Amino acid sequence: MALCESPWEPRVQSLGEFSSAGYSTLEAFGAPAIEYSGVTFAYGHADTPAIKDVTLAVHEGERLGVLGPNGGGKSTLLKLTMGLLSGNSGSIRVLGMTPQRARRARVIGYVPQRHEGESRFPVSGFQVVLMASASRTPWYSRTPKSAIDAAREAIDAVGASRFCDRPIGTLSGGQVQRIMIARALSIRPRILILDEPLVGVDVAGQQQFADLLANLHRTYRLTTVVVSHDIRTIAAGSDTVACLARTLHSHTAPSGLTPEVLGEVFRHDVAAIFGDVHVHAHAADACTDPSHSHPPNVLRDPGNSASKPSDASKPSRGSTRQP
Amino acid sequence: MNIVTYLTDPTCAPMFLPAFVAAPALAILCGLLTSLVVLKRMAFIGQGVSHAAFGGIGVWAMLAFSFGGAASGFGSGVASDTGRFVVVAVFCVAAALGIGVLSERRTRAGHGSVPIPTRTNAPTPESETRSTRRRATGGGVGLEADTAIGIILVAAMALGAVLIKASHTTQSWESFLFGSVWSIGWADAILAWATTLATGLTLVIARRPLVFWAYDESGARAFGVSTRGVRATLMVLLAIATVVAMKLAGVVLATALLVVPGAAALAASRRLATVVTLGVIIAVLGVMGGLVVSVETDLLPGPSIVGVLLVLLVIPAMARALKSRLTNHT
Repeated sequence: MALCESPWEPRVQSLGEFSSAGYSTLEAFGAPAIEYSGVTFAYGHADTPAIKDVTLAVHEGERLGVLGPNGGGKSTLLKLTMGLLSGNSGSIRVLGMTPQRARRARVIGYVPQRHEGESRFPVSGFQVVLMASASRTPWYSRTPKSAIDAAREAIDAVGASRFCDRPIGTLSGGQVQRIMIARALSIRPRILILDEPLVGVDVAGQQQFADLLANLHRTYRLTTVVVSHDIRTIAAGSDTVACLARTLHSHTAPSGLTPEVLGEVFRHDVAAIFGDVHVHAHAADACTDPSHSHPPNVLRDPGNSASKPSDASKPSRGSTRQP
Repeated sequence: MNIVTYLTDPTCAPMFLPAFVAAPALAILCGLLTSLVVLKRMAFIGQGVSHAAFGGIGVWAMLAFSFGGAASGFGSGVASDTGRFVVVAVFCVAAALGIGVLSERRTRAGHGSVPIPTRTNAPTPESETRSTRRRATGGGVGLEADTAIGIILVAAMALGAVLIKASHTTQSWESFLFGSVWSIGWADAILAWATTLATGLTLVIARRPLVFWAYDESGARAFGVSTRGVRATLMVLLAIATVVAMKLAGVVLATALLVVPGAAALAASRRLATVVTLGVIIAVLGVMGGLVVSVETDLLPGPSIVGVLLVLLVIPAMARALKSRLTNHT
């Protein structure tokens, strides 16, 4: 196995070595906050499930990063957790409740993926944070003081007080992300879920985002789930990483993201773009080359490895799926 | 000034006065919705719904013909006006909901669905590739929104053309397509104000979920807003506004009232309350100004209204561009 020096991984452990370390780390967290047990979900009449047989536990206070390629089922898993999709087989429990009930109980704070429409919407950052109370405020009354206080408190917590009264369209990507996190925090959730949080955020903002998440975790001990296809986002602050490419390929500490695991997880993207290729060779090449620091670079540079027929949907023997 | 003569002359006033009473109501109605239409990029949906009204008119014409009113038009009086309004409104609402159904994609394993966002603003989850989305639609349901609108639009126009021809009505096609504001009667005026008040009240009641949904649909769902309900409410309000505006500006130009004031208002301010207020003011100025231009110059009222609205959109934009250029030079 090639050793890999990268910002998020000081050294590569063998899979067996890592697995035992991962278990001891997980035991430091509290009771399970989110439990997936044999979860399978397919859209409509699709013959292939979007996610298949996912079994995973996220413990209270744990910061989980869900990493996977485009179309790997990350957002589907997230929507199932939020109760926005239903009809899955297996079971999902959020703090012991069904996802729908958990959503009604407002125990989950959600930071959605950014979209282009937001920049020209004529509202201030503070108004965006206040939107969290929209479904709870009767139409005939003014916004309650408790909601305003909660919004102010959340804005202070994310350090957005300076710019929260400015129009949302005039804020930078990082500032908008803080506003969105403040909106999620304003309902005082126990679980924070972020969907592709660093899209449109510059490099400096990414570091600030990592610091912010670490601060929030120290202050509130929130269970945090970050969903992304970008390893940098996941490395910004996760205790454990779940690699999802339709099935769960591994659930480990970030240091367990070996070239084999990454190659396995991103094989779908490679296969979709280049056809059948020997992804393990690419991943290994990428990790030994300092200029290749994450899987998307692997995808951009198909290299000159020999092609090898492979079944994209079949997990390899090297996967570290845990019971 | 012709306008003063027409409104004060005992002979002409009964013809022109109802239009001038109804026009501000129609302008306020569309002005209230225009900001949302532009922000949610629903202009094309408005176009589809307004053209569907043509099919509704065909249905009404056929009903009038079948039940004996017909060759002289669609009859007259409060009952007839209300009947036509109801039939066309129901047709437009059905068309709006039909667009929703055609563009829905299933989000539940095997059953159940929620609408996808309009094509242009769809915050497509990055993890759902195009092929995944295609699979997710399943069984032929789940067209792209613009395709669904196009299908409903042409189907309604074709149906309307066939039925209007078959009903042997004496009313001209142009009045449907480009409006016939001077045929507005007192019943229309009362209906316009009642609709405007009802729409205003609905918007006040639903203002918080509506704004949240318009800003961030997926976030709104996650925070407990019934996005299906909000979307359906806006579609119904749009359909009703279109039916009412159609009398003023016609099927083809009704969309202008739902788009141009909002575009002008959004270019002028970044505060929601100001944008909504400006949208209403611009719509009222455009409609009333267009009517005056029409009376004074003997142009068709619909195109005159659209012309004034475009002037209200373009001149401030040009002034801003000029100011910006001058500032850069200095």
